[in-house]
Amino acid sequence: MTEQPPRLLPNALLAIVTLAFLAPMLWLALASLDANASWALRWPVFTLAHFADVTRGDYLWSLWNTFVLAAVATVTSVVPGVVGAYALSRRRIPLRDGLMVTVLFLTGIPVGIMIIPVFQIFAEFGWLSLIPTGIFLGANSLPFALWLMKTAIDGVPREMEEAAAIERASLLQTILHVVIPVSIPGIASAAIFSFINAWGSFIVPLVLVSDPSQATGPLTIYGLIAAANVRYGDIAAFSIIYSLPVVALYLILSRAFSGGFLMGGAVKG
Amino acid sequence: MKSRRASLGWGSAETPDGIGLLLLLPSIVLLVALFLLPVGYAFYLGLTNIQLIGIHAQHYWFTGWANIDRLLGDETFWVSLQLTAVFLIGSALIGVTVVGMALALLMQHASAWLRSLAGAVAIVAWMLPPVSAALIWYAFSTTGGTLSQLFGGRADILDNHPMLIVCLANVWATAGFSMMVLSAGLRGISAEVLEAARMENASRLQVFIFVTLPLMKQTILTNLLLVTLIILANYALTYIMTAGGPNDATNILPIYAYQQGFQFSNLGYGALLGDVLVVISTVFAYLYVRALRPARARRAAPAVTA
Repeated sequence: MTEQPPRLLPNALLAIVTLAFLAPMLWLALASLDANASWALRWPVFTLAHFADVTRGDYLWSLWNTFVLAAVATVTSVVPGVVGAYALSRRRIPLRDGLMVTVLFLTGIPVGIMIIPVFQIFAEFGWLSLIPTGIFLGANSLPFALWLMKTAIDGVPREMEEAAAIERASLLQTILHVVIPVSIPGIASAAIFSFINAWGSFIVPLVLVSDPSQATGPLTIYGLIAAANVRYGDIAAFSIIYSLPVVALYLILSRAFSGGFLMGGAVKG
Repeated sequence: MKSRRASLGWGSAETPDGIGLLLLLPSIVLLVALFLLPVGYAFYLGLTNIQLIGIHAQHYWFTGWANIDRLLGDETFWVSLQLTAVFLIGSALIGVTVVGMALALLMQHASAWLRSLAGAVAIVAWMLPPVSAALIWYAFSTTGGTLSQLFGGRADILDNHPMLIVCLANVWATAGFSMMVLSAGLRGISAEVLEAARMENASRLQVFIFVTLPLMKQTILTNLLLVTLIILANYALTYIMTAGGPNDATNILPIYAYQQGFQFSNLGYGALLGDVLVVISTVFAYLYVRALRPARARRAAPAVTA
């Protein structure tokens, strides 16, 4: 579009919409720094005590648990996903188009709503803990990860692999040293998607992780909101620390790989 | 000796590609074991009397139509279905066609710094984990919170207008995504088409209704279907704010299924309620896959552009 001088009306309207989007967030920022925090939006009596409170003990432990859950989910979807995506992109797979449509279709099915059968399966096998839950969340992200990585690998020139074949590189070497380096943006997008999806997951670990010492960040926050004696400042500070990695990961990666990052979208569970 | 091409696996159509299937196997196993199997199992459990605790926790059996009879006669279920429809219209439909569209359109015409600020705020709202978004909206709308301060500080807005607030929270949490998708769609409309319409003395509104909207139809539709699925999946946001209350006012279907299963201990009946959701999501997901297809065909054949 040719640049026109910015007009008053769209700017004023967009400013109002932006303020409306910003308004709910203000409390979180101010309360986290307020020695007398409540649900009210007010100018804080400045303190860093809340941040000190929530960066030790059980709070740190629950962040670590969240990290383990998200890391397991990421590995579960990216490692099988990248070889699977390579096969779907390069090898002759019977019914490939049907498979790809199925994969696309599965990206739209929210696994979170099938929590009861999964709970029953996990209970029967004694899997109601952090690592199996991470594997489940990884399988949850796998369809979208496959889709992203297959699209990325489709863009790798075949000549590069043919060159590797002449050098007598094995298939595994070719995937590791030729295909993966070139399709890193797609693989990183898939990894970040899986990580963020598991990091934010609430209902799934609520139901599938039975040991309280394995509670993840979202469960800690939920427990704090529901507590009889609400520690407003601590909840706000902990939510900020818990949310920061997700927002940071997104901003860094969308800048690094400008364009289609996460644009295809998929269902968060 | 095998040719180079054959050794790379894209050789003649007849040879079965064992290595390719082997590479695909781990993904297939994961998807079958933790995706398709649970769906099938849910349909079985939905027809049993299994309980979370009590005598039917270990010893449960197939009860035929019993749960389905119960479902059809369950007043709460029918109300929940209506609430789900209201909820999806209020959050997904309004969120995409009004808020997401408004953001995308305004961003086209606003100055650069305001554009990046608005984009950043909306995207942070979209990226925030559901629990953080729920906390923010709970604090915003409960007694003494920001919104209630605007009305004197005593009212519990969340308790007085639960469905409205829950829809607003979901719109807030997904508008950034719609904005990105719709902005990309708007950028894809060729400047010549818009120029031609203005040459014909079309007003701004006419251009929007008769040129922009028809060209955006596909993008809006796929975005709407995707956001509907995202919101259905992300019911944690609603659950944390209201747990379905007050008095079941926000008891949408995923929350009701969860309640039946894990709070009322009726795992079997809860699984059946989940099956209804699986069917609903399947319809949306099917429409989504179908809606994407012509879009891809068009991209493959760019000569169609006017």
